[in-house]
Amino acid sequence: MPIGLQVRMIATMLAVLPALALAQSIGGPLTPLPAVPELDPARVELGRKLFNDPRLSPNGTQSCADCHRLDRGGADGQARSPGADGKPLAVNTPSVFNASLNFLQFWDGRAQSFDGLVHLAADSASETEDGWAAVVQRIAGDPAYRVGFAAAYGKPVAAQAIEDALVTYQRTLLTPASRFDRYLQGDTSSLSLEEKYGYQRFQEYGCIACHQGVNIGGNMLQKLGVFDDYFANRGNPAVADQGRYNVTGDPEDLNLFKVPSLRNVAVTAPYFHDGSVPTLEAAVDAMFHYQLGRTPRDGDKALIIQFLQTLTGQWEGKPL
Amino acid sequence: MKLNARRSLLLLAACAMLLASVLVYLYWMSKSDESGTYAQARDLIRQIKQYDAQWESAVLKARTTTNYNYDPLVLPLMEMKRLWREFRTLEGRIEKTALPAWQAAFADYQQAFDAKILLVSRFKTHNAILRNSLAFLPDAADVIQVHLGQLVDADALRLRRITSDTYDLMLSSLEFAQTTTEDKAADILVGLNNLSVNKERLPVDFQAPIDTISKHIELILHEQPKVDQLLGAIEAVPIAERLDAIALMLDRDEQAATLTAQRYHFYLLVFSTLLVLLLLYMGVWLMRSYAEINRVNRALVSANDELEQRVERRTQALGQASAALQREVDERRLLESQLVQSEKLASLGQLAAGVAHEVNNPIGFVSSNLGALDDYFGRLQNMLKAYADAENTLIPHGLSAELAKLRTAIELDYLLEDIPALIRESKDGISRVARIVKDLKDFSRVDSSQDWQLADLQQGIESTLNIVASELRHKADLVKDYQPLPQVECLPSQINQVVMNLLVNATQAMGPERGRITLRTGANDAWVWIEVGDSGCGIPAESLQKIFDPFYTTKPIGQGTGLGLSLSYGIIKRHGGEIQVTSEVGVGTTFRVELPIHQARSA
Repeated sequence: MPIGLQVRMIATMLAVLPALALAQSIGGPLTPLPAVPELDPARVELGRKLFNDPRLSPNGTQSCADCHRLDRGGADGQARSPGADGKPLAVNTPSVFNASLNFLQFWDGRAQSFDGLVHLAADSASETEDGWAAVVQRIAGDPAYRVGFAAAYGKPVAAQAIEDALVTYQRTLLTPASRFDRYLQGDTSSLSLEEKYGYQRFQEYGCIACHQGVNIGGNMLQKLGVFDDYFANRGNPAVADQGRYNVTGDPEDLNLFKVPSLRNVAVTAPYFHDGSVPTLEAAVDAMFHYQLGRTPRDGDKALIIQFLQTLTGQWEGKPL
Repeated sequence: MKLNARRSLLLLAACAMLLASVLVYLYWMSKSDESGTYAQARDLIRQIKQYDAQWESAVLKARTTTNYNYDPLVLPLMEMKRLWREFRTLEGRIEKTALPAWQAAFADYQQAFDAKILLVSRFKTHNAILRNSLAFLPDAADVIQVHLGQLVDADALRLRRITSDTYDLMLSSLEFAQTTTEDKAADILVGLNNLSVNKERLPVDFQAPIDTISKHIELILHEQPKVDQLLGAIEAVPIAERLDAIALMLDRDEQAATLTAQRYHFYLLVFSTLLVLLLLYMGVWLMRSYAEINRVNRALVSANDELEQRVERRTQALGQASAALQREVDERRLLESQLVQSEKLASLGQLAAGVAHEVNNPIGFVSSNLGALDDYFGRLQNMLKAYADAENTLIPHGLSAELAKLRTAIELDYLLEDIPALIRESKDGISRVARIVKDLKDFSRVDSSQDWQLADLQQGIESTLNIVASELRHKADLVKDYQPLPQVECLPSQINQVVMNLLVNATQAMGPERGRITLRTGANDAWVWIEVGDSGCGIPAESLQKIFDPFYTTKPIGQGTGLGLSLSYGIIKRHGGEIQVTSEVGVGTTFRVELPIHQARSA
């Protein structure tokens, strides 16, 4: 080995080592799920009622819970759920569970924080505005709601209060006690050896570069197709495929999507913004190919999938 | 004069109002309304700056760390948003912040903040994949080495060159990550080209790892300058400057407000001093006029007092005369009514005595006749029994049947049973009539002599009870508690009347529920006493002193004369005795009569 090469290697090592030490001292980039926040029970209950109320849709056919089904991991298992008009929506329905921990909402991140989460199944802003007026009218027409809002907010039914009730309710939709959370909290026996290896592979291959933080994802935007063109290979390009570009109009944001949370990933198939991937195996394959630009060694993919299955939490005391 | 007074009063009030409002105005202006919110606003801005610094340090950490948790790049942003909202809605700053200078400062900050959010978001996107590829490079190079080592039949020298070129390229890339220069980028591009040329000479199986490492190096080549540029831009975002500008404006506002406050403070001091002087002058003036008023007042009061005393003395004399007159009138009226009543009672007594005497004779023979009738019927019964026994043997059959029929028709058996009962009841009845007549005679015995006689009071009480028994029975239970009484020197019919009055009153005091009347007698040394107590409605204290007044009654008009107790009082007084009453509303009333056994003087 030439002397020059050795010197350069040492120099590089010296530059990289402190960074590695820092990574270790943080204690890993994944953090356990926080406790369910203490919120006004009256508002939570009001939000629960609204969440299950079809009067929130323009023609009274769909409630939030029709697509965000709490008994199916907070989504509905369809590639693209039908909208109020019966036609499939532009993107796959993400899980409502733990959504309050995402820094942006929607696949294209068009809502900056959780407060902008409440959405109506309408395309343009003006339609949304009219939709809200009609929703407020329908909800205010129900005496039970009038009483409920007067009790919880001390004022009559209004769009802002409806949104707040829904948001308050959704803040309670956390899925604690996944086996991996128990592991993070110090119960190392809750993962099998294979699953621990899976976690190690998850870090080693760099999945964790994007899927990290408290929600194991949901805290950044990332381009779909870093090492290969996902959309050319899939065909049928759609407007929704432009991702964040649809929000900002900036060419730099083309095909940028919010990195989804991997909590409960094993029970929320199909995957990706277009819902085109029906199985976890296929999704991990696509991630290796398009995002990591790597080929996993034999058995590593199975280990990672085993690890992903430990991320399934509980809702109302039962595993999802 | 009156109009004048009102006008000057109005003038005075207006003056006072004017002075007070000037005072309040000066006080208000001298109070710096900034200072409360100033500290709070400064604190919020300081906190926002702190979070901004945290945010920036998190970005710098992320730049050098593989597998970094990006949550710290999101959380300060949320906090900064919250604090900013709080700052904007701070009470008491709304009108200030509507000024164009403030609006501009806010817009500048918001713009910088939004720009930083965007830059940090892009930084996360690019940095994540860049770190991944950088971390992967050594592994990728190892894989190539292992792969090439498996090629047994290849040219060893060429293989070594490819391996060392790959390592070289890898290290250049890592170095490029540390110091990004155009020259290094050009070097790496050349290296990449070499690699792709070398790759063509290898078998197809071995091309894949080289493709992989090439792609990752290309990515580093592309992303590293991007990340550096983003970092530079993030550092250049003037959030801290914007916040400092806002803090400076806050300070300036606060200073201006303090200056104004100080000026008004001075005005306030001067004005207050003037006011105090005015007050002192008015105080002295008031004290002087008050002393004058006091002196005049005292003279007036003493004159008044004398007049009042004289009036009072006259009024008292008049009152006494009037009371004496009233007493005389009352006494006369009482005497008159007693006279009337006793006349009435005397004639009633005579009437009763006459009736009793007349009725006594018929009672005598009806009673003795009933005795004889009883005896006669007994004998007739015996005879009828004998006939009945002999009936079957003596009388022919036809006639016997006739007789039996007749006996049934007249209900002979029933008659034989009922007649003795009728006689017995009649005898009972007549004996009761006799007793009543006797009581009537006792009660109304005309005390013709109107002189004291020795009488058995117990007997008199019993007779009286018999007379009122029917009325009493319906309304109350009678409880008797007697002690043996000696013969008392008195006018028995009058004492009977007193007892009757008390009993009748007690009965009438009963409410709708059944009550209890207690009759007690007793004696000691030279006195006997009789007590009549009831469990009725009682007498209120204010009425208690009036019940012995003549014509005082609580009964509806026409039902009571109001004379009963007054007469009783008169009678007892004439006997040299006492009549007392104790009463409690809702519990009952007790009258107690005390009589001397011997009278000192003639009636």
